[in-house]
Amino acid sequence: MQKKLVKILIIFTGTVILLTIISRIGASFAVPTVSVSKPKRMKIAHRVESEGEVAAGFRRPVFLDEGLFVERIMALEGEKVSEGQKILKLDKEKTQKQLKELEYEYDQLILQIKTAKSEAQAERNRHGTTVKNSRKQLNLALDSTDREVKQAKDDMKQARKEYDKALKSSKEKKEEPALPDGKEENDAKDESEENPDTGTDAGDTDKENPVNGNGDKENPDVGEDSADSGGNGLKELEREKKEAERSYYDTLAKREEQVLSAQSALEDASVPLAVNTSAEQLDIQKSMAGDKIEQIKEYIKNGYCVHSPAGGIVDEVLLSVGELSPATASFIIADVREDFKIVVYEDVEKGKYISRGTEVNIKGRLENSEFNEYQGKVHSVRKIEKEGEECLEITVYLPPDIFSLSSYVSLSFEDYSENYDCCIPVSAFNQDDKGDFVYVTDTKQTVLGDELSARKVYVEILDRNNEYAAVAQGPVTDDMDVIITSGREIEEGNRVRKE
Amino acid sequence: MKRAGKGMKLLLIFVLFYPLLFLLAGSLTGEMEISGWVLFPQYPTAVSYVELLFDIPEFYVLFWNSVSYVICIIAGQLAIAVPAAWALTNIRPALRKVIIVADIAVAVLPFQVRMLPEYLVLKDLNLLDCPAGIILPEVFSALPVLIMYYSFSNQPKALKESARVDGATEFQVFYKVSLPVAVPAIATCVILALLEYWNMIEQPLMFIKNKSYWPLALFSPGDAEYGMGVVFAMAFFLSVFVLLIFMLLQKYFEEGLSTISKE
Repeated sequence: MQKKLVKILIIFTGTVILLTIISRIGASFAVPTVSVSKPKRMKIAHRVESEGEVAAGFRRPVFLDEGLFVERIMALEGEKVSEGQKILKLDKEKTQKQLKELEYEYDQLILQIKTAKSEAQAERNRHGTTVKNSRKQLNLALDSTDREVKQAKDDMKQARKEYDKALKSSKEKKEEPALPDGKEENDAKDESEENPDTGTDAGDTDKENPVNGNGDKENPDVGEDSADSGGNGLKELEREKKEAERSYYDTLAKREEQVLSAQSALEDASVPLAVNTSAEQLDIQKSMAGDKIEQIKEYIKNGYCVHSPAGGIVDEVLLSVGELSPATASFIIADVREDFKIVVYEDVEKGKYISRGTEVNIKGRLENSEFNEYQGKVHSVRKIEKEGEECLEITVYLPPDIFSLSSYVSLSFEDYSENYDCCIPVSAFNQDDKGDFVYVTDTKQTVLGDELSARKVYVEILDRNNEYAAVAQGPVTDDMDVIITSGREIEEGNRVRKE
Repeated sequence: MKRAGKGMKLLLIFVLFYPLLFLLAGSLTGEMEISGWVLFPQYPTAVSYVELLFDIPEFYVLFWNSVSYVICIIAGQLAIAVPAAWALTNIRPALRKVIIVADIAVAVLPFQVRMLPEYLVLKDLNLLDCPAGIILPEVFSALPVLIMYYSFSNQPKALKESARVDGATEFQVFYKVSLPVAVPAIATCVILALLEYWNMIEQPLMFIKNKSYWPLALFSPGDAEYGMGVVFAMAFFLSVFVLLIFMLLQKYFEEGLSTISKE
């Protein structure tokens, strides 16, 4: 019995040990394994992938003189040319003919210039003479009219004097019995003294003369009186005086008219001659023709060939054999010494993170198929309309020796946000009716020791990319372990195990 | 008369075994049925045992904690109590009396009285919240010393004298003569300690906060995440374990009690 009991006890103990192991294994399988990460302080990188063609950053146009006859084009599109290499051959005969024509034209222009210059000189001389004559005419008019005015003035003074004298004597005859001689003489003297002054004034200033009619108004009264009392002689004198005055004023008016006319003629003659630039214009034409001749002579000297002004790759040929060279560029050469450029077009939404200065990683191949990589920056971003849709034209410049021209490269634009305090891998995020949430681990002391359990924490996403999302600080802090991945679906309060 | 005696016996057995039957019935009852006192479940199920034994690793943690505590305490008690009791039998009678009285006084003190001083001592020794905080105070228990003392003192003096005459040293007398004779008393100490410490609740609740150090007795109360069936299964399982050990040591236990009671 005792042995049996010992046996049972041993079996019991062994069973318990075995079950302990089994339950532990079962528990470890039942608890989901999770990977955790602490929130990081970092910048969120926004990456936009695109493709583009490498093009020449600087395209140099090659201009020829207009109207040259093209015999042969010696550089085709896409062909690499070096500086000074022949790219075009001109027609020999037609070029020679063209040169001769230009030389004739040049000689003609020289003659035309001479003619134009002599005509201009003659015109200047004529103008000078006219001015001189006009000035002389004016001086003559001034002298003659001044003399006439002076004569008229003297006549007027004489007429007045005689009239005054006659008037005085007439008055004396009338008032002789009543008035003493001395007084009468004094009055007459006073009066005669006043009138010459008035007459002088009127004679000196042409425009005041009509105002001096005060004398005229007084004199008619006096004349009327004398006419009434004196007789026909006084009346005659008065008429002569008025005649003289009228004559004087007419002379003044005539003088003014003549002087104005002479002045006007002088002014007309003094108008400067219109600038005659025909000689200069012809001179310019002559220079141009000379340059053209020199250029054609240069072509002839080079064996009727045109050389490339710079090394590069012929991007466009804009003329044809047998035709005349255009006024615009004849060739476009991509200059391989300058930076290359890549232009890509992106949706406005996709490209919102791309701006001037955004970092871009470019991957592509060289001519020998060797893989190459370049880290550059966006040169410009422009909003344009392409095929009726608004898009962004993004230009990136890069050194010429990185990728071969016209090859296709992949571009990866990377724009970094501001520094966020709390960034979590996007795989940690879940969503329910209340919004976005993550699970964080809490340590719980249980019978099995310190165990981790999942706790749901709702978060506000501030920014995100394909790998990380920045969340507002508060619910999630730096020291929390956020569950990134889980081997099994977990719920709030579930026990979890770290990887 | 004989039949009546048999009937009484059966009734007594039923009454004695009723708690065990009740636990067994409860552990075999489904969760929907377990709300009342059911002795014979309508739809017996072993799901509680499956859950307990396979899905709840905590049960085994607590089980092995209890086993560890009991083994450590019993081993410690025997290591202290047996030599102490042997020493008591060989000192002067006056001093022995004083020590025994003091020992009895300590032994009868309930845990509630010792709780605060024990807590303060353990705190000063930094033994709170660790298994040693439970094991050490119980290792120095007074009761095993008394049991072993009475066992040694009840041994015939001639037995020890003859050994001494035969040239045995004091250690040989203790080790080779008295100790084998005291095995029933040791068994008694083991059973009493097993019963007491297998079911201890107050000490771990007071001195241990870390649940991973808890004994099995703290498994069921308050652990609402397990169903009643699981708790019944656990209780039955443990009862069987204790019953097995008790049955194993029953013979020695009876002898030990009779040896002690001769005094």
